[in-house]
Amino acid sequence: MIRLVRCDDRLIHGQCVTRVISDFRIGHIVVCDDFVASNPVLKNVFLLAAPSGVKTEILSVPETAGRVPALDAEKQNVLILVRLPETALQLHQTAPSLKKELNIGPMSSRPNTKKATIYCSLTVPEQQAVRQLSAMGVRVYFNQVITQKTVEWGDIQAQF
Amino acid sequence: MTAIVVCSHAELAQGFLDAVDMIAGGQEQLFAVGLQPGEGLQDLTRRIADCIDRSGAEKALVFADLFGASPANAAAMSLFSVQAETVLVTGVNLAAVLEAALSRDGGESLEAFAARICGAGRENLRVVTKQTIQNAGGAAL
Repeated sequence: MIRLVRCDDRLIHGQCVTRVISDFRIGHIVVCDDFVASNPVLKNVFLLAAPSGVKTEILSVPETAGRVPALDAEKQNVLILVRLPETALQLHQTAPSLKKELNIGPMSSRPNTKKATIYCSLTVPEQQAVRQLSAMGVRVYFNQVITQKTVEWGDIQAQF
Repeated sequence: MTAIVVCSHAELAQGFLDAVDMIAGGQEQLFAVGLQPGEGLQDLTRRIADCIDRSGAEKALVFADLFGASPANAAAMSLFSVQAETVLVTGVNLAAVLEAALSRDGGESLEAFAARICGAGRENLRVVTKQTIQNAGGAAL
């Protein structure tokens, strides 16, 4: 089943490998990102970075959306990783059976971003995508690792 | 001279340089790039590549602190954009950085150099128990 849909702009990295994969007992990672899926260098670097023993695929948004029912039918826990909230929005718009939850992990500070939490900064289009997800009934929450406090979008949206 | 770039989370890379300086004195063409809180993969990749390009070296050895983590991922991506012939060694330790800084340019290929440095790093990871120490001297302590 799809255990977690997570937005993290560094995708597969130290925190993901050392914490998220073991905390959620992930057996299968699907990186859902049109740009990474179409860039052979990025794609291969992330495939190389994935821990051995965890099946890892890098798919476009339409490919991932088409696979959602099959991923939910898997016995092992599946992690869907996206780089941007906009990608999560596209995925929810095209895969209606997807669990209505989005975990936002670390998002880097970039020009014109606003901090949602200490580790997560969002651009205006990213904030807009989060708002739309929330309006669709998706629970959007911020959490880096499960031992840290979770912040609900609903509790901070008034600041945006 | 082969440039050496150490890439890490936070200030660990600079710490390696400080430690090398303490042990072996200041070294040329030895650089540190640390991922800062809130920094993205793209910026980090650019900083690593800029560091290699600015060195002007023909060859570069990049160390990263953890295989699969962002500094290693960014360093891996930079291999495709830099001018110098460059290889990456992950899981850096001080023995590896010291060996690399003090034994570069021995005429071997960059890949052979990197493999030798990996060996030096691995060899320094050891378990030391009271028994190990007793066995070293032969006599009971």
